[in-house]
Amino acid sequence: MQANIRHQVSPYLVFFIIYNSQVGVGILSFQRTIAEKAGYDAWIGVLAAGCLVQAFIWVMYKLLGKINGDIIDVHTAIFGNVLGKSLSLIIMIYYWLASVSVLIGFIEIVQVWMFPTMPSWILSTIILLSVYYCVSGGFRAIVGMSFLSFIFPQILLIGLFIFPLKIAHFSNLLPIMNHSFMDMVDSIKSSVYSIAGTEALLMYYPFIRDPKASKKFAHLGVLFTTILYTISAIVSFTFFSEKQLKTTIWPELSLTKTVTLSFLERFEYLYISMYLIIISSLITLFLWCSSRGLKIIFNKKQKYTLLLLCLLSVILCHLNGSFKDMLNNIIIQMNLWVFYCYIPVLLLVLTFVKRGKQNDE
Amino acid sequence: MMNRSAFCLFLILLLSGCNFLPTNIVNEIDMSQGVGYDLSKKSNIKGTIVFPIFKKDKTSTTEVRAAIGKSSKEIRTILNNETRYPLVSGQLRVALYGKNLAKKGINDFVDTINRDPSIGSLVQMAIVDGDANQLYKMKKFKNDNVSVHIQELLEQNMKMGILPQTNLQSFLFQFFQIGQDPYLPLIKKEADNIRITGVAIFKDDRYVTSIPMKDFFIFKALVDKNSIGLRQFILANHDKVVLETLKSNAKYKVKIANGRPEFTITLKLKTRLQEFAPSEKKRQAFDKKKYQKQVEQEIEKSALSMVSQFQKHSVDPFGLGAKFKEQFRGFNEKQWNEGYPSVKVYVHADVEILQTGSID
Repeated sequence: MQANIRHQVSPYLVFFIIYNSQVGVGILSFQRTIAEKAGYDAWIGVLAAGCLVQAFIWVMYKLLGKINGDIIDVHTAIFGNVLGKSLSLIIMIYYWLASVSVLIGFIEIVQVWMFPTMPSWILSTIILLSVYYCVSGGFRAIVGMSFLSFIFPQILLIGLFIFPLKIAHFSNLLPIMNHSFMDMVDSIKSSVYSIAGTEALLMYYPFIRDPKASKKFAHLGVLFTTILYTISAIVSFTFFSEKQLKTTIWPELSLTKTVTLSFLERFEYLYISMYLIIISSLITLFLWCSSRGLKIIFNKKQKYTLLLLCLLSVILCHLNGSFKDMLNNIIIQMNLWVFYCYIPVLLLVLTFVKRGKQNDE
Repeated sequence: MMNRSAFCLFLILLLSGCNFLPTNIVNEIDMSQGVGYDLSKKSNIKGTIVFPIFKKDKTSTTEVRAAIGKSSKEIRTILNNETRYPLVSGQLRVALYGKNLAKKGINDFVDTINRDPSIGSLVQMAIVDGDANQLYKMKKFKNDNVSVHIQELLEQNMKMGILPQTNLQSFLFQFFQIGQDPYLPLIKKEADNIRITGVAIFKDDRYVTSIPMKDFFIFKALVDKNSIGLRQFILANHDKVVLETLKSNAKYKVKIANGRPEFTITLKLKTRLQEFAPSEKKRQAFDKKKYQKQVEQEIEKSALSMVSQFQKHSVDPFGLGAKFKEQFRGFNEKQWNEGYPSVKVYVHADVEILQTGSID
């Protein structure tokens, strides 16, 4: 079921939505997680994970193209109303949890780097107020945010690499492929989680004007973020020694500590503040997906579901602590099983089992 | 519509008027620009903090305060009790460590600088031959900012002189790198001045040995990517040649035989002649070929003696272990550390004198 053309966006904008959905707080800290087992070979894992995500994009386009609707339409078409909607509910909860984990991650950064005494609920309320405002503007406003989040911080992000590259030790990367196969698999697994986010496509597919034409932009978007993540990993690997990286929680922020401009001595404060644009547009996208899903499932107005999700997010942010690691764990597991195992199976089911029914219609 | 603008106005008022943001107004804080740590009695640490005091219509003065405690932040808490404004560390420029403390290890005091997100990673670090506190307290710098003076002294020598590049980030990199030991500049209070006297070489975080100023030239050429500097060579028959590096490039080759490495360091220098004083007091044209050869031998000799000094103390500031690890997949840290003092290192210098100035 395609959305009204008034709410649809041009195909090329998918590039920015994909970029926006993939880049979050993860890029500030993934270097350490991927290098945990695979050491300085982990950048190969990022490239491999990028290939996996490309395949996942292909699967999603195939799946949604068959029904020409979002994931809820797919579920109801296969499993019927009740079971289908409850399966969709799980995915909506995933979107919501993902947005909460981004929010918690960002709040932690602000608290550690900028305002150590600031309570979480104030920060989350301020961010969610602007997010609420954005989401109520509809899908086109969200795409606009994605575009902005690409234009503004992205130029800075890439330009920033010049400073650490001046003192880079490229020989750090040698010897290449010095880790076992299982270690490499581990690095792929953690990179897949870092560059996750494309699954939002399952909800906004009906809002793309010409989905077939948008496919290549989606692949390009993933390619771009994969390269961005790989460069970022290599820059950190050449800048830090291996043990030093393993003690650094946010390698990318520590990298920016070396940036000194004549008019600005400490760049990272500006950087973190700029990051708010990236973070809020990412949260906007995921909360929009989740609230729209809940709206369809429970047949309520999106305003109310969004409000409910925002309130729950504030509460969860306030309760963080040991809870944060558990949340991240849940998301990693859900991401792996729901999107990389369940969705391809769903495609197979739709292709082989339901073929007859499709022809009937 | 009215409703929404009223809401926005309310938000703006809320955000601008909110008190929950901690503010640091520049004349209501004391910005510590230099810190120093010395060993005191009974395994206590004497910490020194230097901060400037700005006064209206007057030249600013620097304030040097010291306290004795067990940890860096404890010292800061004690010192906070005697300063007018709260001490903040975001403007830190130099961290100095007394030699006696450095011999016991400085990791505990580097940790706090590394941990504090408000401190940048371009902070200069140096070891003081003597007392860091005494150095900060020098009368000459009462009205001059001593920490900025030290920072600029070090930075200018790293950029234009023969001091190897170091700062907090390079120290941490080398400290954590497997198969490499860190080095930092060594400074000293001499009469009424602060001088750079050597480069302190560490084993892990403990000061072990140092190299004198005359070896800086070669050391910097061996560790930095592109070093410039001046050095005088007194050759076989007392000919004096002073060369300035224009371009330098050090290549480390590892040859592995039976799991035991052999290093060949090729040092390529492109230089120009700055001063030439032949032993016979007679003006003569500069014979490039002859002197290049002699200078090369001189460099090889002092580089090798430097390497054997490091091997004797089993410190590895060149990162030979790290280079071995890059080339050899079966690298074993323990085995390497045991074998390091007896590893064979060859140095091959390749000096080219490009210019002889406006005369030949």
